[in-house]
Amino acid sequence: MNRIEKINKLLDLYFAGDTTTEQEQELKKYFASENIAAEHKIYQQLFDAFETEKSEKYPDSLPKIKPSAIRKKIFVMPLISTVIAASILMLIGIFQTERFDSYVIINGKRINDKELALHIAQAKISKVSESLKSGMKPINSMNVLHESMESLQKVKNIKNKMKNTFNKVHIKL
Amino acid sequence: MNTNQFNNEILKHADKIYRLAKSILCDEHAAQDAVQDLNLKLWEKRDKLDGIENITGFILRSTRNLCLDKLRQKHDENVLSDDLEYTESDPYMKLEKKDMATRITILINRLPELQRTIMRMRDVEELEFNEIAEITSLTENAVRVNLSRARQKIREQLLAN
Repeated sequence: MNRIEKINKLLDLYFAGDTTTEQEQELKKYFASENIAAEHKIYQQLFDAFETEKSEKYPDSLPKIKPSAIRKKIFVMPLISTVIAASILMLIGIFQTERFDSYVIINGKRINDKELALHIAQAKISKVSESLKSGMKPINSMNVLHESMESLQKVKNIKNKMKNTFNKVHIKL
Repeated sequence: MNTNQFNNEILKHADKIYRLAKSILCDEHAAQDAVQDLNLKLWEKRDKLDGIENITGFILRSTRNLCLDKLRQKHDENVLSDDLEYTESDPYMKLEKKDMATRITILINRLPELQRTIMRMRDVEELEFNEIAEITSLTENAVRVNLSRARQKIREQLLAN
């Protein structure tokens, strides 16, 4: 059995859901190589997609819980992050005090654990920060458009000036 | 499980949890929320996590259950239709849909939830059949049948184009 026939057989087994882990690894190795037969090219995109998906990472930076560093982090946190964090905490309706116990309510759940509350707040801050960044894209595009329109405005002004000049010398356009 | 163990053994699965949640929910922001929600739940139960033999399997099964609950909840609110299809929130991504890998992702996302979850667990996460069976609460044979159906559908669509 030559290589092409072997791959054909493996592909048939693969699509029937009957391949072993080793056989699937062999297929993946084949489609990651540069010696793919023309008749197999159509399946290359499938195995490429698996590799692409496998490399996808969780976009939010999920900060590790560091109990000893909590107080320090609060002092060095930039002003804007502090404001955003405070807003989030107020919006989700929180920081109610009951005698001497402090707790947070997030998504309807009461959380007494300070470490966890800070952990979630930091993750939310990262998310808000990301949203702000992506939210600025259309505004930047509008600025570019506005700058481009300025030259058109100049043309309009020149046309008006010419019209006035022609009127003064009794020439009709 | 103490704080360090939680950081080392649970948070390291964030990428896997995110990919699975995104596959089930077909929404990247909802998937990010699912990761947060799951970590919150796991943190609350951290004292019980030590006794779990296969922690990765447990986390992935919890992820799937959480996402299915979210889907049911949204479905009840008539927010999602049955034929759930993946949509990118970023308009710039629309341009990238020409990309072959993205096209395959779209094809996979059109499969029923169970089929696309099983296909990704096997082909992307490279889990064994017994692990997938445990996560999905199916028999190994049922996993193979669903996997076969999923792959056959993708093959048909590849050959049709």
